Amino acid sequence: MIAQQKLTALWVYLAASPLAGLTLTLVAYLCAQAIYRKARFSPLANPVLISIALIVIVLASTGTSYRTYFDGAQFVHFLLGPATVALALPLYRQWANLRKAALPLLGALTAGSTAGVISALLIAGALGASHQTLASIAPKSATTPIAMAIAEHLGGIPSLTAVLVICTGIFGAVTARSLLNFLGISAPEVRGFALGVASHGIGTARAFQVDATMGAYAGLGMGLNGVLTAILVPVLMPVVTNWLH
Amino acid sequence: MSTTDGLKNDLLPIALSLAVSTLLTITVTAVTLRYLMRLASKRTHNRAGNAS
Repeated sequence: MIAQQKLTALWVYLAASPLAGLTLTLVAYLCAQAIYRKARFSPLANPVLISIALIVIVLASTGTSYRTYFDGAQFVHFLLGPATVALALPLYRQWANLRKAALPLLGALTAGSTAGVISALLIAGALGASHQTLASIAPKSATTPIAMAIAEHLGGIPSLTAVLVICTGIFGAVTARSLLNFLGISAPEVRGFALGVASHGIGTARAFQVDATMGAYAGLGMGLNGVLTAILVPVLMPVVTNWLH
Repeated sequence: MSTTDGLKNDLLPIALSLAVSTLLTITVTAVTLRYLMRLASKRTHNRAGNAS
């Protein structure tokens, strides 16, 4: 009983410290990586997905608010910026190949991004989703800050968009390997670029775990798709919603 | 109707749209890139053949 009280007191003390959020994030990711290795790197055991589940379980079971958790986790969040900029290094190493493949890459980006936006709007719209939901789901394949800005501009809910962006990233990272194997696509450039366009940073992280070339093309796909989505969604959304009504 | 109720009603459209559209984005991007890269490589070979 005394031991339990001491444990509770320790948790209350730790929960109030910003280090708790940081420690929880790092420990959850280490556990998720261990599970991922045990599962022989199966995409179903995606470390991001497992980390999120572990953190949610700990926060819910201890009654810790997201705000308290994020006070500590913001240090990891801050590193997202430098990590994104660091993606330029593998891109630079692939520069000669990227220049040669510039036109095919731009063509594939335009086709994939347009198909993604139109299909998301058509399916959700045909099933009766509201305008707010449509505006929130349309930019789901872009990276979170860009997607949230687009959703806000079009009358969507930015926080819903943030959740949908993460779900899209995890879903793409989990399913891409089987889908691309089924399509008979083995070139790391093609696999990486498709993953980056569809699943932004989470897909790019997954691509880097497999192969450096795949990761470089995924980073390029993520960056280019962010820009193209910001141009395409405001143009395509009124056209598709008018057509649906 | 509140925003939460609206979102509950939209759960199925959101889930279906997210899943299908993500798979379609990967498929269209990968298939188009593979086709365009093959086309570009074929053109480069043809040019090299004509030059020699």
